[in-house]
Amino acid sequence: MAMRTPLLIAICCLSSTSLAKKPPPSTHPTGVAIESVTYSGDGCPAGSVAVGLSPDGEAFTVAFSDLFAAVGTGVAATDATHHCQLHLKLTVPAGWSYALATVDYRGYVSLDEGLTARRQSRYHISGEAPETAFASTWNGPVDDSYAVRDLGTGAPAPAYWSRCGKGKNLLIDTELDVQGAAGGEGLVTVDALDGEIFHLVWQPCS
Amino acid sequence: MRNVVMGAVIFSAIVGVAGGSVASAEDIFTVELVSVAGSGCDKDDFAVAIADDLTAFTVSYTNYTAMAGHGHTLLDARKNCVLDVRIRVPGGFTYGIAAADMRGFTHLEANANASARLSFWFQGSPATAYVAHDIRRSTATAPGTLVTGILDDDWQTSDATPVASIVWASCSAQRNLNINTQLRISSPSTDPESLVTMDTTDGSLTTLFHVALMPCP
Repeated sequence: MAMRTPLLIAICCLSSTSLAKKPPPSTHPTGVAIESVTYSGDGCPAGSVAVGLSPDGEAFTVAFSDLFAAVGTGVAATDATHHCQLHLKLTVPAGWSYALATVDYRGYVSLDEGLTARRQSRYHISGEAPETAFASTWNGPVDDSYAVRDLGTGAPAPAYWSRCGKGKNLLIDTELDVQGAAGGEGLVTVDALDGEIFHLVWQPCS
Repeated sequence: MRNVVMGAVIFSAIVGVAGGSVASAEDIFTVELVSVAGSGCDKDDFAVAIADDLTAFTVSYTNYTAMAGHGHTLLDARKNCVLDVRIRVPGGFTYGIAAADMRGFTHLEANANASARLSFWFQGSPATAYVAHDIRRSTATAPGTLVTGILDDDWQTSDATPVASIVWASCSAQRNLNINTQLRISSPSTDPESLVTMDTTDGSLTTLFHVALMPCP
């Protein structure tokens, strides 16, 4: 079998307005780096997460092999919810703050009618309070890939800044769950999470 | 549009000049797999190779199979693999994905269907380009235009992007390309096992990506 069709391009569902708010490159501090990414949680057992850092060190992708929630015949009851916490260690140059502006999630969701899937992500810059959280919800019937963006979609953005020279530790905890009518089959995954250093935007401390 | 065409010509010229030198050719175009993860691929289940003409690369998977039918749950019925790829092109040029092929093997019982999807995006960009194909959509109880009955066959998809629609890598930022492939299969749970895999006779699944170049402004 061979199939040939035009390659479809979808500029999908995501606002890029926040990108325009980023300071010009000349305002970027030097010495910014992601030092390490570690993870824990029942949605990301050891060896199930891969991190790809961009050549300029300002963007990265986290891909997950096992971050899902599911209900259905033969599926363990404990699979109805899973979570994964990412722990990023950043180099934060003295005299600079950063903001978490946007984070993109891509994955797959398939739900019978009567089922609801939810993705919730909580962000915490260490030493800052409170944390901030975003969520996506899907109601069955649905069967499709998805792309959603956290932060940066409302005004004013970005809104979540580190203190000057602080915020070395950034935590991102993503939880998935599927709930609803007994007997239905449902699956939601996060395949990848990525951004420009999570769209971190830097500014000089005032 | 004119610039894109010129870029292709310029790139051809560069390749021609470098034709006798392996070292120079490697400088023109390199592909590095930075990371890989997905329910369909573990870290040792793939390989990346660059085509001789330096404008394509191939990813081979050894254990990328979706299954459905007796004994399988919905977790078996959808598999994916995300590749984070670093592509280096000549200075002053950017690149995009001009075409993509996927190949595999499938065994489908009479009431099983299968599909494949490929999507890609540059790190940090909200734009996702994708192609989706039904490997089979018809079944014995709901026959369509595609083959019905038990199917045992290789499958292949081939997609080309019009140059004007190619998503180009940023010229101002250095970003990796993410490629997410997906296999799905459906079958009544009481039927015998069906499977779809990107698997040749030696057990590897191959996805081929052709790359186009364009000069930066």
